Amino acid sequence: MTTMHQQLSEPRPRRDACVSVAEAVGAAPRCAVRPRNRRQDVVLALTATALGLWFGFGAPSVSPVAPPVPVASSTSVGSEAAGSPDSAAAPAAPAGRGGTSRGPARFGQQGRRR
Amino acid sequence: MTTPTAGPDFGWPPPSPGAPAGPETSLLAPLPEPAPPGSGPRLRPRQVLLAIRLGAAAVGLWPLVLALEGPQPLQLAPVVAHVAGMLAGFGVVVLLALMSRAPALERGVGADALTRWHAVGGRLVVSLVLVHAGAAVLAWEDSRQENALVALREVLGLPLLAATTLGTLLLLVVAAGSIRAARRRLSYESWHTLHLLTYLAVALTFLHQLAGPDLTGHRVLQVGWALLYTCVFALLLRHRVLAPLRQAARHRLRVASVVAEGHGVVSIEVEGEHLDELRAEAGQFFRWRFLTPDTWLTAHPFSLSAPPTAHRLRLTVKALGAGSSQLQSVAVGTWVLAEGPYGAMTAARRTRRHVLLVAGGVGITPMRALFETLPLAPGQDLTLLYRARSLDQVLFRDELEAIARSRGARLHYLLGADPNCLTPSGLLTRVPDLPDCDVYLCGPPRMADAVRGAVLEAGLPPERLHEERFAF
Repeated sequence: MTTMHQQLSEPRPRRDACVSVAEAVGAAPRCAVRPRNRRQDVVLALTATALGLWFGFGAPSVSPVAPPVPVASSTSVGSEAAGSPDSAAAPAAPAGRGGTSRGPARFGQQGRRR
Repeated sequence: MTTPTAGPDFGWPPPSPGAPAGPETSLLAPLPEPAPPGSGPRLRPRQVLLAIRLGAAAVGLWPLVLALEGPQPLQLAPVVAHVAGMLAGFGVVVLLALMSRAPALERGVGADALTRWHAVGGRLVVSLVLVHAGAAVLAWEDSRQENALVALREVLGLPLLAATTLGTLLLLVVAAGSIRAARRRLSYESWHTLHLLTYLAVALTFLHQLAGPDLTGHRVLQVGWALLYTCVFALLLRHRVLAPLRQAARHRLRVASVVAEGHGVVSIEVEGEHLDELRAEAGQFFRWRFLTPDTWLTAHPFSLSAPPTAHRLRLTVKALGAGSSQLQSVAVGTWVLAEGPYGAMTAARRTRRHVLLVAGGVGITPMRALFETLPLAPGQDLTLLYRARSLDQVLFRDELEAIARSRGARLHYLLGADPNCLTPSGLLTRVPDLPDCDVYLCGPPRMADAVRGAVLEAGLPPERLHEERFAF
């Protein structure tokens, strides 16, 4: 094991200019962002928002993948379901994007919506 | 104890005695209206973790709220399927955001911490996806009183499930490629290409998420969920595609020189225009893409090994894999795309008067830049501990010794195989005020682990250990 150690007996003060690299190189202020880049950023943000709204509003309002209600359970709530056990157990009819059903979904009930 | 071998001047490269001040050294003169170092928003790790946890709590509780509101008694399989599915969907968008290269994250949290979170989160998300799929089939099986195979076939036949299944399989392929045993066999380039499949996997599963039973019927939630994804993708596009292209057009980087440092290590100087606008700092790194037929496909992260100037950047590369080996002989004049700067291991992390830098092997590269530029006032100590196998394996020896002399800093080479040099007592012997320091650490994983344990055991508070670990 070798240890090499070096130190000046009297530390010299550092150079004033060597505060940081950003200062040393005269980093550009934030306002130096080019207008063209800013326009691109705005367009990108607007596009992302528009796409998000399009996807969100175009999404089906009835889930095509909701699990069917168990047969035993559906009979116990038959008065609410207003359907036969067969229809209660069937998966929901696939609702395309922008489906017409607007009622609030309930966990486990989506499969009964028509 | 050695006698300093270089003159008292410092800088990059150390100027020869009597040499006139060139354009690079003139940058050290006071400049009018300097910008604050590392300006720009920074998100602290605690803030980011808190946001993730709050989001996960809200997303995970929502299916439970729906289940409790419904007329059906709570059933385990559907609830597990819904909670796991929602958390997986949220986890995916978090993983993407962590890797978006957004400066607020990169500067505030640090690339290595983000990568670690991404790795841990990735395992969690893949597990949640599998739990979601398994529980969903089980719920279907229970509800239809069918066997598992029939239930699986019916579930896969549901609308949007074909694309979702394909996306899930792609995600599993990516996950398999990230398992440690597989990763050791893969080159960085192959692993990186494989990882790009994640975007396709996310796109294939996106509509399934919007059409899930927990979001349907709640238009506000569907819109919010969709906006979350599109905004994160915009963030990725902004910082991982547009920013490098803008930088390429603006800075026009080219290789200016390649200097052999010995033992399969080269320093590559890259020159360009308006590099001051990058606001890069010592301790940071870029992802470099050298535009040669062999290397243009992959970007590699390398730290700046010298303080950046308005016209030049320097990186130092050790031949550790196929990509870095090809860079040993990169031609002068080669065009370069640099994505960055990234990394939070800068002077901005410093909180104390005394600073200890610990480097191992090629981990000296960011430390060499910090050693030259960390502010050092009278009464403050700056110490660099540099672990290497032997003296001839020490990189930048002349530069380090010149910097040490000119700044009044201390430099220790820890050479050989002594296991005690990185123990708490060994470190305290060399740096008695270690618990009162800020410690910057960069080195091979095993050495970094040893130093991390030793400095914490020596009494250093964890928040004053600043390190970046690079491993893919």
